[in-house]
Amino acid sequence: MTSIKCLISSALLLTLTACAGTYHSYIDNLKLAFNHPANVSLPLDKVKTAPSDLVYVKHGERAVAAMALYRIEAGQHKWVSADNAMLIEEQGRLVRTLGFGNDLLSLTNAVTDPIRRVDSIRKGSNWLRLADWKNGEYGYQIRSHFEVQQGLQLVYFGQVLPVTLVVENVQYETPSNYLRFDSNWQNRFWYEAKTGTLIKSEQLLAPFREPLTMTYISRIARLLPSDNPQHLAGE
Amino acid sequence: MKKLIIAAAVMALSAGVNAQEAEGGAGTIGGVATTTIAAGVVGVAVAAAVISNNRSTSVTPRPEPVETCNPGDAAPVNGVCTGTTVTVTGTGTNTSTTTVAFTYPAIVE
Repeated sequence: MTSIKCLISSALLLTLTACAGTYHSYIDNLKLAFNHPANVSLPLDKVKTAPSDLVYVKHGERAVAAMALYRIEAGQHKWVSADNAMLIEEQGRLVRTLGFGNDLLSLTNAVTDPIRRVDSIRKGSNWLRLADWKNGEYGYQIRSHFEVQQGLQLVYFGQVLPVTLVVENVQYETPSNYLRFDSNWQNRFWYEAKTGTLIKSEQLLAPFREPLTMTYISRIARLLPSDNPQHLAGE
Repeated sequence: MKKLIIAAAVMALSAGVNAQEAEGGAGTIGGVATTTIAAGVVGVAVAAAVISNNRSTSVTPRPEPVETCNPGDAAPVNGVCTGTTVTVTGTGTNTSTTTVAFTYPAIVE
């Protein structure tokens, strides 16, 4: 009996060590490191009844967030996030960012961007523009070549959507002061095949940035027939 | 009148463009610009902190230095020992011995 009492007392004393400030700081650090927020995935009825248009955004290794359409001004869609970051795009092309640290300030030659007229993209279509960055980096030259892949499908809310994929082969042409091997990459744009509506894109703005994947979930919800299952969550 | 017509045309055009898309910026969930933390780095940092703390508490204190004098001499006073030596003076039958005191620093152990 005495040994059981000793055992219980020892266990209780051990639990008290967790109250020490040092242990709390260890636990808080580990929680911060390992407790990642869950990806946002709303059911179809929530997407349809959302007060603003929503886009799912995955930025690098972060969890998927839902950004809302703040304004459409001068042909630019401005999407805002819960942490007050903003993505500004023209016809799906990201032309400016706000609140991302080293923001993209501007992109020249946006008017001739081939993704503005997806139907006119042919093999060999190319686009040259200059990018300005917030950290005093101006006039970075970027060249793209485009190709179109048809007959693909994407699945959202349990429904199959036929899509056309536009692949943009990007080359960062501005010479670097050091040897780098990440000057070429691919951006992708998925368009719903019947309407030509942009429903998803993957864009890397520069080699030193993290990729942004945008899924236009409100547009997808509008494209789906109204008699589909309501309980399924989006991608 | 011309301005009015242009304004009306612009409004009609923009209404057509925005007919389906709802603005306002409401309904946002989650952040996209938050700084990411490498879990592995934090794990290593915490492990290092735990090890460091353990070391800091487990180090045995250094023993206090002990001052001693040569065997046969008295204990040191303020780090100074006092010893004695016997010297022989004179020659033949006229010799005598004298005890002379001397000091030396204590031995620290």
